[in-house]
Amino acid sequence: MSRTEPVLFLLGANHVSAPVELRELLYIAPEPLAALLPALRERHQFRELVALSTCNRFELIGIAPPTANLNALLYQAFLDLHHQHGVVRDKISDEDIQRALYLHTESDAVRHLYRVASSLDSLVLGETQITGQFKDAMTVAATSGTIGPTLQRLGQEALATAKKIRTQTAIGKKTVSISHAALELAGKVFGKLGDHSFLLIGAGEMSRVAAKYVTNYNPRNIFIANRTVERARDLVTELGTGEAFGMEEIPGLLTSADIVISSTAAPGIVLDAMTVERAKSARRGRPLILLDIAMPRDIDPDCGDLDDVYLFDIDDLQQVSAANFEERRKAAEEAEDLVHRGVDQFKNWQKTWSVKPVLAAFRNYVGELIDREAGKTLAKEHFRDLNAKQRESLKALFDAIASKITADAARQITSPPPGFEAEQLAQSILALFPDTAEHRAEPRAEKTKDKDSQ
Amino acid sequence: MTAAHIASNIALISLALAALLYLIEVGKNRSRNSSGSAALVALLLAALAGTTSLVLQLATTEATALSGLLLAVAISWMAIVGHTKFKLRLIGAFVAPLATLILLVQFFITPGRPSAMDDDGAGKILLLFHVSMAVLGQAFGILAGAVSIFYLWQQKLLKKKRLSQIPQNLPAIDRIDGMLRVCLWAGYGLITAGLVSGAVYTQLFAPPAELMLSAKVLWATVVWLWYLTILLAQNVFGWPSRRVAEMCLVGFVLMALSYFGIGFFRPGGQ
Repeated sequence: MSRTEPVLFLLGANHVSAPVELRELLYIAPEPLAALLPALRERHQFRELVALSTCNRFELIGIAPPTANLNALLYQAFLDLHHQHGVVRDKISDEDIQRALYLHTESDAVRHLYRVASSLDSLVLGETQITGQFKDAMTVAATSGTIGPTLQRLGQEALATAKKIRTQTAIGKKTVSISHAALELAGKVFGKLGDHSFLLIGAGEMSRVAAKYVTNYNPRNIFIANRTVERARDLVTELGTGEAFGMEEIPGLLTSADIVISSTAAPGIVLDAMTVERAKSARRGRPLILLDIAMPRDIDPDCGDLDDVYLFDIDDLQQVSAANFEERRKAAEEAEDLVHRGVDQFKNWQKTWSVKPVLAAFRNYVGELIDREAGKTLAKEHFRDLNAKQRESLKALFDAIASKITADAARQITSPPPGFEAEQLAQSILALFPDTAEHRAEPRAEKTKDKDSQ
Repeated sequence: MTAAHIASNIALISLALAALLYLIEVGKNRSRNSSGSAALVALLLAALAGTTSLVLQLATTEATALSGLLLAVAISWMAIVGHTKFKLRLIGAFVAPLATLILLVQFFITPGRPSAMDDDGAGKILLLFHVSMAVLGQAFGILAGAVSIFYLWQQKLLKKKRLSQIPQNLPAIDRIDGMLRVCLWAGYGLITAGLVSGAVYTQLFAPPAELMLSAKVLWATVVWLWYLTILLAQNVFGWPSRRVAEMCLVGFVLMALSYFGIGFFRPGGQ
């Protein structure tokens, strides 16, 4: 793909294109991501760069420089980032990563991002967590200084569309979080969840959401185990029920808990198969459900091979989500319309944004032209008798004419009449007034640009 | 043809119809549909007709074999309870064809075979108690086999994470596991009562020729020992439910061999 202009792109892998094992490797926590992004932007000369890293997707959104081979540049950048992060080649080959990637450019990239922010591309359609994760990704990019006016605007518009979708369509009313889907899955094993005891591993945001759903079932017990017992206690206080424990007490809790929901931010396995195996003998054949909603996964996948133990990870939630899909399909159709409109609006903004430097230059050019010509005229003999007030009035008249001309031109270009494109009209200005090009770098143009980027 | 015979025939036809409708239900894999409701109605009709026939036969002391009819009626009622109370809507798909087969075997292979109903008062009561316990024990054993099939099916789908393939008309797996435990304990208790009462009856009332350890008694003892092993494995050694379910299936085969192989095909046996 050969490009002569900078390209807005989105390259990534999600729960549809990549299995959980691969997504686990692609996940990068916010702190290391903030450290890696500036170097990546520098190395590959991206104008702007944002990375969205969640349990279900890793996506790079950016503006690539004009290049003869966009695909090669982007794939290389993606691989570089993950090699820098420590994804070693013996764990997964570059080819395997590339096979799982999708690439969208320009309007397609914008559309995809809007769908992601609105949870239309989520594993659990309509879930709310993605909006927060999207905001976090923008913050990380802002912290690392890799975001610019285009992606900032794109992020704002995507979030505004997401908000509109949540408030104007039924998708907001039928919102289901990953935790909710996990409990629905638990219902396949245990008919009445309220008759059983829950063990929540982790006391972070995901656990908090899960715990709130769990309390709706009035379970026999809620045990919350966390590395810092104090945080577990805080969650117990917030819920008004449950008991707090340290992580070292998990083996003992496994003998009485029937449903375990794990969502820690630990980088490795928190619950291994040996621990579960040992707890099994005390359980006397009672089924045990392990719901691993963490990324990277908390629970040893080998636990799933144990008798009477049912292990589900976030990929399995897709099936639950699919079962509910029909119910939310209608709402999603409405939401897609809003996305479509949002993309059109952004495209228009992008077009006017791209002609802004021409308009600013034209304004400078006309302003200077009027100043110059007015100066010449007022210097003539028969204007020498004018007093200061009269001179000021004439100057104001000339400025008003200049403003009127440039404002009319700007209005026509930013909202082109049918059959015309903004870019096309801007090029016409440059063709009709070739000196305009010389005024592009004038301070007044930069000022306008800054104002627009707010 | 007596009223008891007519009722038996109605039970047989209804069971055959219920078997057909339940098989359609399995194919459809829906939580509720018309064939599912119709199957339950047919099974209910069969259970009512069979019960009527049993009562009439006992009341009039007609010389017919009761154990086959009693077994068919017992497992039909159990399937109705499983369907309505425990939401195990597919249980009839296993039970109805089996009950049909039991009745057919009784009708065609042992038609009008006399039972030992001409004993004196105490002997008759003890015999009736023995037959009832043994047959109801067998019924629970059959039910345990059926429930095991559903347990293993659902367990496999859950383990393979084929969640969308889990039939909507099956309850959650822990409920199936609970039913299996109930069937095992009830079946074991009833078979034990049947064996003990049979031993007492044989000692007190059976002719001297029947005091020997017959093949029927031997098989019944093997079945009893097998179920004892299952309960020990489950409750003492903590074997996983999957293995318990597999053992229940073996128990069902042993019981079928005991029932069909010895009960019907051995001359004079029942």
